[in-house]
Amino acid sequence: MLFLLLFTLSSILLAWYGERRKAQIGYLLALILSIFMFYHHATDKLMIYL
Amino acid sequence: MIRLRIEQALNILELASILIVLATAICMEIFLLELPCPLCLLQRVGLYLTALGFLMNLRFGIKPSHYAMVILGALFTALVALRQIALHVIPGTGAYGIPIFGLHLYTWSFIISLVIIAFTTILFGVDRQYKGASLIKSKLLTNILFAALVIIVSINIVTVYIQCGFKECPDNPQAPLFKRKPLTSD
Repeated sequence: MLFLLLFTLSSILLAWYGERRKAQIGYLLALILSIFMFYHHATDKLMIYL
Repeated sequence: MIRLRIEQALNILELASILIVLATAICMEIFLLELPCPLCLLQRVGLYLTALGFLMNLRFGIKPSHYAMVILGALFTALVALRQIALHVIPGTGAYGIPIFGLHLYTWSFIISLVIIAFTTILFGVDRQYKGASLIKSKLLTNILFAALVIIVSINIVTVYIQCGFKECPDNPQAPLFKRKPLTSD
């Protein structure tokens, strides 16, 4: 969870700094990571500690 | 005096509403010790991503891709909130946290996400906002909103570190790490 929040924070900071494309990529990575974590929580199949 | 177009004002209004909701959740966590579960934290992340879409509208001008970010973030939040509602919907399974105005936070999260999706879809359809310059003249307002979100996320990072460390967050979180009794060795 900590890494996901750090990802999100870095995307926000990139957008603030003016890096639109990099912020959007960070956003997508954070969203994909969130979906993985949600799937892990719902099924307990992904034994990853994010 | 900052002159805003109606679409910009509505973007700011939605963003401010999300920031108020997130700040309330953080305050409840710190002052009422309402510790967030993993699903609660995922809902917060969804709202952060939603807020980022609005902020990018203010920072880089209004674009359809930014609205797509908002809608995706809100959809994710609604999905996670729905899962949590489903976990507690059967009578006798209890609930998580204290209710506000009769509804629990995850129910509010679901309602807010649906409102954001509906409102953003309507806003998304206004064609004239994509023509001409849609950047806000005042950078101060944009910077204040960015700073508010960065502060909220930073506080959340600290609280998550205190609560979970680098590991997965527990399903039923107990008192924060700094309030736990030290382990005694025999």
